[in-house]
Amino acid sequence: MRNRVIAVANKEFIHIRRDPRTLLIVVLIPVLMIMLYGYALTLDVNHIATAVVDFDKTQISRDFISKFSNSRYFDIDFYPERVSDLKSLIDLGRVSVGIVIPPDFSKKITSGRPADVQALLDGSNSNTAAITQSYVNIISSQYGLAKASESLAKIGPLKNVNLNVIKYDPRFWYNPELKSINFLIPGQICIILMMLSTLLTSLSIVGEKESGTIEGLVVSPIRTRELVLGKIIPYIILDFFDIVLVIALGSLWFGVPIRGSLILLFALSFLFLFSALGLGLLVSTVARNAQEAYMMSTFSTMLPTIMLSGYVFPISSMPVALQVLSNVIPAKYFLIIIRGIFLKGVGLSTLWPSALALFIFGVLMVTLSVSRFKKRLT
Amino acid sequence: MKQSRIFYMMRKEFIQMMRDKRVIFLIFIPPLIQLIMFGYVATTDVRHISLAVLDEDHSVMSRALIEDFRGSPNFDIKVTVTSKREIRDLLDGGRVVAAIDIGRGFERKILRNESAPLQVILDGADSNFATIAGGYASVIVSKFSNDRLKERLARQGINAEISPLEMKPRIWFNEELKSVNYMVPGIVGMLMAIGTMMLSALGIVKEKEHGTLEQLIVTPLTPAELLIGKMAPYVVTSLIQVLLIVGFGVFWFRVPFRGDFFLLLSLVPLFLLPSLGLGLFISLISSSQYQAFLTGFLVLQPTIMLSGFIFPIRNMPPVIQFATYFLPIRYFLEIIRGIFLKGVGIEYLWPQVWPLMILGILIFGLAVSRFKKKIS
Repeated sequence: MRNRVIAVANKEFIHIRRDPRTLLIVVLIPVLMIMLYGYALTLDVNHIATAVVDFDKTQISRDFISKFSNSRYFDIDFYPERVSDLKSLIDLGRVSVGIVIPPDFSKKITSGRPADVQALLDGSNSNTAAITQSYVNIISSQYGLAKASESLAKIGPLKNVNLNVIKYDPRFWYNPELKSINFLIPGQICIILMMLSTLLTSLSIVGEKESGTIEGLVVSPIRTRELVLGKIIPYIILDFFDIVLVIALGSLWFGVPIRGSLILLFALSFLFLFSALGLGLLVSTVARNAQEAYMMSTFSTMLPTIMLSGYVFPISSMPVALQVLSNVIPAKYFLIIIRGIFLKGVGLSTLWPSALALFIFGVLMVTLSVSRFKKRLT
Repeated sequence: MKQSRIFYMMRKEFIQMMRDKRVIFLIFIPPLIQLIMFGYVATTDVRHISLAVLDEDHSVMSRALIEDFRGSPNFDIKVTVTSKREIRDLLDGGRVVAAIDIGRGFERKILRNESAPLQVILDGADSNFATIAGGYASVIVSKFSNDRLKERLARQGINAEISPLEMKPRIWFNEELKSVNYMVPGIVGMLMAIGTMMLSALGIVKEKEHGTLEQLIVTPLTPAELLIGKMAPYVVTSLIQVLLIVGFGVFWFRVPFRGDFFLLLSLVPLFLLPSLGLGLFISLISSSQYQAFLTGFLVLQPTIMLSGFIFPIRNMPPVIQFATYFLPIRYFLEIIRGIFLKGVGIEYLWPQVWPLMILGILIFGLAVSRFKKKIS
């Protein structure tokens, strides 16, 4: 049996070598994608275009504005004179937040009365707006607190009152600087692998069908199991090369930390490859031609993988039905594993449920495509 | 150019399109799948933040603070733990994404004019989620803290205003900050880009594959007539898709449509032009449908990622921001979001309209002239 598997694998290798397009896909696309997306895609919200309408125009109001301009989050691009000018700047999309300081701002601040400041936010991108809003709140509440203690100090006998009721100490674990690249690159690796595996394998059997060579394979003494294994092995090797490539680029080029065991990461990647390649094979047993294979792998694997795996969109915020559906997406488990090893530095003792899920999924996919293949041939 | 010839060409295309069941599938299924996916899934809303609570104080004060978290719509208290070690395990295993640790002596220190220890731990892996969740936590904590400060001052006989600054955020265009409102207009643009480009590329390559393109060339049809007739069905199907998505978005997902619907419809062809042009380009460099699919995929992947559909263009590095100026979809997304959410008119959209127009004419013109050269 081993000989025949090797023979099929060997034949497949020759095919791959002859078709430069496949090699191009295997080498060029992962590098291009991780470079482009590593640089281009960021969810960090910095340099928010800001406009300030200052009706007060005093030292105090300028001091308040400087709290915004000194933070790395806000770029104050405009100082419009009227609120209507601010409104049209937001309508045009030139700024995404506007701060309106009322004329009696300094008077109220110095006398210790509450001053109303208004922040107008362009909410059309809900995510950016929510983050902008929390930055605005943090800056203004810090300012408010500082002013409050100043004015309380003026009252006099307050030296014995501690204004700091709570020593609030927020910590961000795993990604203390909150860089979105640390979140996105591991996800990107997973997506690239999923895409390549399904695309390549789904086309490999379909290719034989289209060129009619599948008949030749069927009449040879090879068993289906051997054929499927022989078909998968070359792609496992190619994909493994990609894994090393993208992980190296992610950690060496983009500086995403790998806190856990690299060996464990490679070992578990194999499990993921099995399910991804198995899925591709299953698609190719169902599809009749390359176009169908392409369509099916896009709509049955790519889209659900990107959307439901937790790659960008948190699973916990999805409706319950889709949360349940996300359990049959192998990329979901691999994402838990890859982020766990990269960022959290956890080991198998924490990751085993996801590893087990991948294993079951892989076995299921390969068995299913073997049995589908048998039925089609007889 | 003769109208009747274009008409016959169009009729032939329509008949061919309707015969191919896959094309019907391509027209109706992707928009629906994508709408459901993006409408329900693509929410970056931060809700149900799973929280672990460690209360080392067991006092009235600590329980009051925990109740504040429990009462918040943003946090779900999943577990109550008894040691810091458990917090580590829960976060490592991803069972919770946030934890609060109320230290011993919390209440005593609050009552005694000291600073009470409180630690909030957030899983920072998903940086945006963590930023927003941290914001929610700090709002709850600072409200709690202000109330306690007032009590502390009152005990000293001082009735003071604690926060002299009242920040009143007002959110325009999407008051409840719902992601779906941002996503649905984007899907319209995405689908138009994908649908028209892919379908028109495939339509032409199919003729190439079957050898029927030669037949069409030897007919009295001029290249322009051939193209118009060929492309018309895709324009019609894109318009159907637009209506489908806008209808679903407005009536099912309750996305507000504040602008002028007819303005949107009249700007749609502006975006179809570059998409059709790209499709034509792809068909010129591909000899089989498989190649056309692959090329289309390679063009679309980065286009979608860089279009501002999910990832804001403003945050990209300057070089890439500059590159996005050459993507027609970038302008169209701004236009369609402007009309949907902001309800602005042409006078505000003009800065997006003219580059789109120029790009469209350029891309389409180039593709057509290449096509003409190729068939003559």
